Amino acid sequence: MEYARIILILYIVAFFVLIIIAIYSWLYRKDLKKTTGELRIPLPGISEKILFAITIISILSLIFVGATIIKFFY
Amino acid sequence: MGRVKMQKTRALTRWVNDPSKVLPKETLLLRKRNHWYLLVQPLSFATLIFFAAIFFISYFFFQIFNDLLLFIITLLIVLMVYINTVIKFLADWYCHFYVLTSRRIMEITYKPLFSKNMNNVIINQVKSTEIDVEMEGMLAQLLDIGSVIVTFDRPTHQQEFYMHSIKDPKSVGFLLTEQLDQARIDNIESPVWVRTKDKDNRLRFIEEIFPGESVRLA
Repeated sequence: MEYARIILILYIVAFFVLIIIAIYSWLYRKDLKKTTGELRIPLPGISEKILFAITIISILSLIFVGATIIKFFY
Repeated sequence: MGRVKMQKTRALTRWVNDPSKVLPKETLLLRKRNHWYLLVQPLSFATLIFFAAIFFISYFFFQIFNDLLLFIITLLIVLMVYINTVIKFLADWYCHFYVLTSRRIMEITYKPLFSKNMNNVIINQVKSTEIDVEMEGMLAQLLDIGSVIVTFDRPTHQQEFYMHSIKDPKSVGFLLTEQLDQARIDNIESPVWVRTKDKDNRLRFIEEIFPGESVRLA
């Protein structure tokens, strides 16, 4: 029982960390585009694509972890 | 083609990439970033921490908690944090540069989502006393990295403009010397009198402080 509770807590922590990563990478990508626009320098396209990919992966992982947590209670 | 004005909107450095004259008699001369070598240490440190974290979570989720799914999710989280950190280091380096025009020297330090700083020195409003070029160490000599320090002497205090770890600092130093030598203080705007901190000698002529530099009134 103790083992299961610890695993559940780890999943909940992972859930919130994924939320933070998703929000941070999305906000950072937006601000990076705005900053390079202000400075009139080329946007580092590969960084922008990677940040977008990270946002998508975090959201998908978030959904999966959320479903796993719900499954724990049933 | 009409005159392009400096906009007060968010496009503060509209003219940074524009080589044409934007303001009367102003020409963009130089735009330089810090040397890429400055990225080596923080990226190496981040990579080391990343591999240490992988080792730790492998041990934790295979030896203590035998849970493959949680291991994959944690590995994914660590990988995304690492990539975000690397991108932040690269973006901070990319958006930090020095600009020299015929009328001003600027240092622009934009860190997306964190901070924005712009240091602007108008050449014909200051008097430059010293331009130093520093290149210390074997690596600096091999990679041609150095710093350029411009010291300004104002009647009441000194200021320094520091260009840190740039490539080919010698040519930048020479270019700065030429520009600062050519800058002329506007005689009409230059003060004839200067208020000093000396109680016995409150007001002094500019000529006393800078002998030979007489101010002619229009």
